[in-house]
Amino acid sequence: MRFEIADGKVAGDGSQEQTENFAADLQGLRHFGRRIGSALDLGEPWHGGFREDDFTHLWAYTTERTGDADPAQGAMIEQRAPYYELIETLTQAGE
Amino acid sequence: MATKIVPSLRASMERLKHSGAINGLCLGWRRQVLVNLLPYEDHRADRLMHDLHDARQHFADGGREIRSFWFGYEGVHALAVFMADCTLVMLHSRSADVDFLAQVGLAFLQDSQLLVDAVLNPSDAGIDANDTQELQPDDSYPEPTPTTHLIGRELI
Repeated sequence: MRFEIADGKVAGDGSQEQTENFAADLQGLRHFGRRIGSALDLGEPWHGGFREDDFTHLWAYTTERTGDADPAQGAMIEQRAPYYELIETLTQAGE
Repeated sequence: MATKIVPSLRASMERLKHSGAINGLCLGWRRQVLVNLLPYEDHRADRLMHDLHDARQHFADGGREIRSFWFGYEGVHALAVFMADCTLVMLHSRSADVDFLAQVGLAFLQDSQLLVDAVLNPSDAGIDANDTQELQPDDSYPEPTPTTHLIGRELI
């Protein structure tokens, strides 16, 4: 399931509930990605994701900007999916 | 905590460096850092482990069971894999390595459970003695022989 993030809003090809779930996970990942980046002095994350046994979530900014309102692409898949394949798909989609 | 690590656990982590373009490793148990092989001071590794623990807990509170997080920063990626109470963080520079690293990290956590247990419970007999190497063998620093003759002030 693909999602597009622009101007701080999430739009996708899933249901309203799925879009809200994606947005909630995205918000959590951004928050903790920033905390981890701060701990190691690495700055803002440009992509983030997590995997469960049967679920994968990944998002990535599609420009050099990494603010909340900056454009990004995301996906959530109800299976354990390879991170690399997913990040390649998301970053190519944003070009 | 990080200074009390048995050498074999550190050696096992050193082997992980061969699994890809690794920039640093950190092993934690709950919020504690067990081995810090990151290019950072221990206080930063501590913060990292706290943040990852909080992140995992945040999603666990919503009924999620996170197996790994993956974040990308300028010039480096951070991959964290979890097994039971253990966390392994790998900083790596090539995104193409991530899925292999996740598999290798899980295998490491699975295989190192006894070593981690030995670190957490150093009084347990057996594991330390058989599976690890002494940092300072006893015979390198022999006990002084009891032949020193002390001369009392009153005898001078």
